[in-house]
Amino acid sequence: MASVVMPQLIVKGIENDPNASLVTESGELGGPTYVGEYPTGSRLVSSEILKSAFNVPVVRVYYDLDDQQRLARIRYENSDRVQNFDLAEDSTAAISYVNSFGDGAWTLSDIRMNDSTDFDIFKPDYVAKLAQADAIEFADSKRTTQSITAATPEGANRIEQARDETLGTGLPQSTKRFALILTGLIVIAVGSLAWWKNRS
Amino acid sequence: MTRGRLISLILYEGLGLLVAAAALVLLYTGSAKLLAPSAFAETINTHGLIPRDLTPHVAWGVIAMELAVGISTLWLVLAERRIKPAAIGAGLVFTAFAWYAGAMILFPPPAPTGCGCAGSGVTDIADWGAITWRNAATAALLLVALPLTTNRLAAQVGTSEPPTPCAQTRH
Repeated sequence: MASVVMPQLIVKGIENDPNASLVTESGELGGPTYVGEYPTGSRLVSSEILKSAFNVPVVRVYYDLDDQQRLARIRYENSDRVQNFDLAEDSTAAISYVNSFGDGAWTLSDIRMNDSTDFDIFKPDYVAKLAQADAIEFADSKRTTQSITAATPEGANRIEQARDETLGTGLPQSTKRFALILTGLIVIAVGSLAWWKNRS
Repeated sequence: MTRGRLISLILYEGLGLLVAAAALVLLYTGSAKLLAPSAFAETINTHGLIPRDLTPHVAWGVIAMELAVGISTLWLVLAERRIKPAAIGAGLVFTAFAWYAGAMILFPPPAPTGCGCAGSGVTDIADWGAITWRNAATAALLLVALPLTTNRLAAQVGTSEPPTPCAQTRH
């Protein structure tokens, strides 16, 4: 395996334990978590650990934009699991690692989103496909969703269905109807008051 | 009532309806955001323009502004029969939105995202150019065209719309 950054990390009971904690040598990094989410910083989880924990291919992805460290998470269909993608220092190393799980000899230009800079952003659909995920969710280090990309039609459906409840973004149709009703009520109230004022 | 005055009256009422329509847009978008303020704040977060700590406050500020201006605009049109200040108030809000959308063109978000205009989420990818144009055109109509026209029409139909110096020079 190529030389990727392996942070100093101790894992306690992570396998098959949704309430596992991740701790560093300097102390606890995060407490008990809910299913599938581990309280990690973007550069702190070893891909080997995640691979072991989730029993799926984990890819180290260099996803660095304007010096902002990014945490890429993959959401799996029919599962509450969320996969964390770690970052790699070296894109060449990352590519080697990707190819160790992939089905072909991928090159940087195949999967890179932007080849004009000194950092490489990997295409989310490629990453999702490689990890056999239906969708990939990119988040920043504070776990705020930055973007969601579907890799399959099922993933697209899943995003559409889950975005309001799971991701807390967007409005379901029922809320839009409520907004329309609320608007109507305000108009009726203002209109009635105006009519009463003009009448008197 | 002369024919000219009747036409002026119809035009004046029509303009009132236009301003009222702008108020309805503000009321709907404000209501939609009010029903999911955290989602709206989250969407603002993804724009990357406003510091993260401020986004919940900004979100509530925008919601309050849209609802307050929407209600007061509607009141001015329906109860006070004063189209000009109503048009100016709503126009300023649309101007602010146009500025924000324009800023998003100059400083694009880190990843494609929604505008949050009417509670749209981060997966409803925004076309910032179209949003800028839409809001700028509405603002221009409300801020420039409507007050000038309504001053003139108000004088003809004899409403209480206060004339501006611009309108006075025309008479």
